[in-house]
Amino acid sequence: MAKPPSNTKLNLAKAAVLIVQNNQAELDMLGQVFMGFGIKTARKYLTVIEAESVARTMEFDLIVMDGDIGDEAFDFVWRLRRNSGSPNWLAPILLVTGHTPPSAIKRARDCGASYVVAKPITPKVLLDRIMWLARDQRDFVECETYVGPCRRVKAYGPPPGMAGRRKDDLPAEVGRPVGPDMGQAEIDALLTPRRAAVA
Amino acid sequence: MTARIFKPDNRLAQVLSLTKGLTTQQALGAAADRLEYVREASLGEVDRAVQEIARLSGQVTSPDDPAAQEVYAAANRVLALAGVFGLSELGEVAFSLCELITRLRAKGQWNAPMVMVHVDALYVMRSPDDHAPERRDALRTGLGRILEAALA
Repeated sequence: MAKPPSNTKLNLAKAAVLIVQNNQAELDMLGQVFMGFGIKTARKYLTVIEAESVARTMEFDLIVMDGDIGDEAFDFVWRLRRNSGSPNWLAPILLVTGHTPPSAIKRARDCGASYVVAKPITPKVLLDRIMWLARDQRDFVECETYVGPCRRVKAYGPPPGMAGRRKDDLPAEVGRPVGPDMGQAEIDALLTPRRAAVA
Repeated sequence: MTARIFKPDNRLAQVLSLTKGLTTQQALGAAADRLEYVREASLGEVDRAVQEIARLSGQVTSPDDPAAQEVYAAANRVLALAGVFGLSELGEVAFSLCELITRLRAKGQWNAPMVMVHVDALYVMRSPDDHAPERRDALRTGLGRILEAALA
């Protein structure tokens, strides 16, 4: 995904954000950062129960969930993604985690979070991820075992050792060439001509 | 259930505006200003967490001890807050302590001296300017060796 130009402007004034953190200090800190970004509507909660209650009726443009809460956090995301009647089932979800073993990262990804970010969440890190999510063009996948943004963030094709499951998956093996090779002139014609730099 | 793949509306895309709003530099500056409102409280929380780690670490005798989990959780709080307020080295030590506890759990064996070195390092990095950079570098290197030893 291309980096935003430096003159890109943000207008988050109308965005509604749901923030869930497992302690008051981190909740206050993130709340202040979002206010600095210009967000007027930030709902902040220390428990998943409260957050889930408000997420049933209020539409959010971004949800920031603390993975350090543990199972409850992952389950919240899992339930939200499977409730297509919820106003937030397609919402971008940023799962933030402190020290996290790889198994928890895998779980975070598989519960349907849009992105997993390691703490500390500095303003720069948070802004970068918001911009990334704003430009996120991944498909949304809904199937029996997973609901959420496509987990193939990079175009590496099907997971290693697995046959493709989608109609546009290509096999890993490269077939024999079909048709004649391209000539240099044909190759050149595909490239944008550039002025040569002469010393 | 057949898999359904589709392009969802990206709500956040609407927040990017090329004509009005804050530039990224302005947004980051404003966020840094807002953080000053919670600096004192956040660093107070960091100090409480460090003291909690020091107090509980001496009580733990086994990785299965519930106090070990409390130490881990407190170290996680330190790593979440310290780096945001200019104490990145303190955050690194907290991360190292979390990693150490994870490795000790995997081995099923607690190692109090390894943990106590981390506790001392937390106090050092809480006031980094009181210690020479060479000493802080040496300390970080030493913690790295401890982590390697915890794998053995």
